[in-house]
Amino acid sequence: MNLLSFLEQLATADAAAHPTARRGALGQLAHTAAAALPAAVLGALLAQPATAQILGTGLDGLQLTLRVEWLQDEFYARVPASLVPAAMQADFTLIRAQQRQHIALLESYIRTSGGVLAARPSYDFTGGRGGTSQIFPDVFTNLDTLLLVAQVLEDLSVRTYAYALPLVASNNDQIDSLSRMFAVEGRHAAHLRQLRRQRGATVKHWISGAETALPTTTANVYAGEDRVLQQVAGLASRDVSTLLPTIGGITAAEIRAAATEAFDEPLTYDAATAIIQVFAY
Amino acid sequence: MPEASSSTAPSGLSRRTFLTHTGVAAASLLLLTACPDPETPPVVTPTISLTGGDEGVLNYLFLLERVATELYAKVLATPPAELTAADLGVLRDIYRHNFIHRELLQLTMSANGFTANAGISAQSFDYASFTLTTRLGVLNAAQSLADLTVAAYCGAARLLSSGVLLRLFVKMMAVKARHAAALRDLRTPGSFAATDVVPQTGAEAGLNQVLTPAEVLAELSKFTSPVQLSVGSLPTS
Repeated sequence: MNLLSFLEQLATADAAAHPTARRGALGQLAHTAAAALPAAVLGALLAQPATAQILGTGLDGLQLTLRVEWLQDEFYARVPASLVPAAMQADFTLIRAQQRQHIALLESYIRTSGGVLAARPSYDFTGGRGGTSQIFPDVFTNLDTLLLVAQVLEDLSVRTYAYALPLVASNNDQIDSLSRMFAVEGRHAAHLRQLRRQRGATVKHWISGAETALPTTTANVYAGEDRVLQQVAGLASRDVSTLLPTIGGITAAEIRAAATEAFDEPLTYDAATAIIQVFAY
Repeated sequence: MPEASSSTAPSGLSRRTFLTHTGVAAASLLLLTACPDPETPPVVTPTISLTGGDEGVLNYLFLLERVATELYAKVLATPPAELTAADLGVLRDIYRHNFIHRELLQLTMSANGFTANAGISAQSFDYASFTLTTRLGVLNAAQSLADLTVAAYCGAARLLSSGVLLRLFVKMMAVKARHAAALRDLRTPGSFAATDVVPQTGAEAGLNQVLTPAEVLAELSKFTSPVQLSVGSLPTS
């Protein structure tokens, strides 16, 4: 069997979307003389992350980021002014204004890319989807819960842009703009975390390991953020938890934490959709 | 994105990082042969020029990372006493993230058969334009390099041709934006996305400031003086 074509096949077989394709490719490997493969190549293969490949079209990326920006726009629109201190209110006003600017641009890109703008769904930020089984019942009556949900939505946004950005790579205008919106969302996410820090929450400005802010088993916005293997070439990944020198009293846990914090992992289309659906129906 | 003309397939020596070391030897040669007046030697600027393709782009990011990481190393070696524990925690985290990015960029270049630029040593980076002895000075320095990095990343996504490298770039980029916002909030609370980095009106409203490699390298050259950094044959799309 042609090793290169096999590797390509494996690389394009997204585990979530096409589990059988990937399994098939691995099955084929079993039939080849695996022992004849150079150990390094085999190591890279086994290290190949199941979610390294991001499937979808540019339009998929634009539509998904638009849904997340809508979600945030709607969230900040509902924040009760009486619950929020004035300084924080100014931050929210700025964040929402920037998100609405992103929405206008994303909608225009979707139209010019031949896409159809869906109607906005219904939203329920308690996570109850209009029912009584709520995850955040006090989202608009308790400032700490409000900030937690805002942080979850900003981090969702960052991870969704990280999914979408490579999908628009063939369009210079779109990749420029999405990069610039992505950077702004990163700024928002860090600020929401800063606001929570000021109120005593134990949280950093960056996602540290797989945090568990969204307590549902099907949709954790931080799933996969504990990854330390990063793909650096078609056939190679590197363990980024081995790069910091073990000097200055740094602990193994700190090294691992830094290795996860240094990278924001993209969500898959399905994972982002599942998180959106906690709040939209 | 680059078309086939800027393919990144490594092609050996021709893709080697191009260094013009117009140092002592070349300068004296010029003095002897071309300069009629020994009192006024010609001004020769040592220059690092980036190569084309993804090799050039990774080296561009690598230079940014080296200059930023070294700043934190310096600050954390002798931190001003007025830095709070919270400040130090943030600075230490950012140092670690940048260190990891720097090392990974080097490993990435090696894994792709690219040559990492070694034309200047980190010890020679010059941060004299910053005041690293006060809290405000340190935060100012860190913020300006973090904002510069984010603006550079905003202009660099379009330059990468490899999908694998673009995905890796994106993962680092988000964290760069977090760094900039965290530092801005430490220095001036609420300035995480202020109008000096995110215009609020006009065609660029809501979009992070973007800088071209030429603009970024001109800025970075202030820290690598007398070595000047040049875009060389970096791709433009």
